Amino acid sequence: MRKEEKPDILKAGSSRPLSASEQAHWEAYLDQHPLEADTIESELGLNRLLRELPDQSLSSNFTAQVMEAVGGLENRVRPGRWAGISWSCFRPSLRWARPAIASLLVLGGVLAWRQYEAQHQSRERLAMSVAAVSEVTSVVTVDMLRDFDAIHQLSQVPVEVDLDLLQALE
Amino acid sequence: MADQADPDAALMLRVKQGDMAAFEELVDKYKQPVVNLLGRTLADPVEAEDVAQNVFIQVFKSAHRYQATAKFSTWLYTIARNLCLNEIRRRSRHHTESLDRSWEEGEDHSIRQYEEERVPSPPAAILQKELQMKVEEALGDLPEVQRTAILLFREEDMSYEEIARVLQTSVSATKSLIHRGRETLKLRLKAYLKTGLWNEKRSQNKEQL
Repeated sequence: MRKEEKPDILKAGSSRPLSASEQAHWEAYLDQHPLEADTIESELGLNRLLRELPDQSLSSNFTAQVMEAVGGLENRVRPGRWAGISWSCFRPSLRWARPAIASLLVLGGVLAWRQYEAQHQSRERLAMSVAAVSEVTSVVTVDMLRDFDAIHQLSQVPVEVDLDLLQALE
Repeated sequence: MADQADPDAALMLRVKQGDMAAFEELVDKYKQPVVNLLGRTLADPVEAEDVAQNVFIQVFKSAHRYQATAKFSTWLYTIARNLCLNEIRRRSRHHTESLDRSWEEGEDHSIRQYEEERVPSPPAAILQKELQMKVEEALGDLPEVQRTAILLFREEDMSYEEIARVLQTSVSATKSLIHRGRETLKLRLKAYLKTGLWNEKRSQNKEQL
């Protein structure tokens, strides 16, 4: 007989009385290990005391009360058919938030694009203005600027058409 | 699959599909063991039964998450122990509350139906009753984790591994808890442990020699 069989029998004796074969098993073990008699007897004795403990009091309609309690839950949460429903109390708020968040994102994107376009257009206009000015500045020379005052004064003099000179030139 | 070896796991999988008859069958089977476990920790039988009901309600609520990766009883006793510890913590936070609080709130306890207790009889029964009280007292004085380990060890189909899962500890720690708890109980109940059977047989063997 192997010594490691001892714990298995101890467990069997803890939840129910030893069967005839188990008892014979222990008797044989004790014959081989007489010095362990006191130890084995105290273990088996404790098992018996624990096994003979009476059940705690329990109302006879316990099951009915439990079924009544879960019956109310079943109407709200049907296990199996609505797997994952425990998260449903959070999902409705997320359901409403999703389109709102999406709308905000789209709106934000549109506004950002418009601003970008506006900035881009203003840059374009600025660039064109700069280009225009740069063309003018490239045409204007120093010599032209020298006669600027004279030309400016001429422009302020009312111009009368000299018809005789015009006929002569023709 | 665990449900092939564990019929209770198979029942629980049916509960997952909405089978209320399967759930009722599980409640009927485990209500007494659960109350036995809770009653010896909470001491108050009414409170123990309330918590036991909550255990099964929690089992029902968690049915959609149940997976037969372990025995059903392991999962059940884990829930039972957790709710029991929650109750103990709640008590420690509200220690000034009377245990009769539920009565003062007008809770209807008349709906509970208890079996009529037997009339005490011969002295042997009285002695047996006293012995059981001593055992209960010795058990009650153990640390909760040792007591729970020993009570779960009583259950025929709970292995060290399953008990370790309930206690959320290792197998070696579980064996140690059970061993220490039993040593304390043996010391406390020494006078009541001798069955006389083995002594009698050894005397007979000596006479035969």
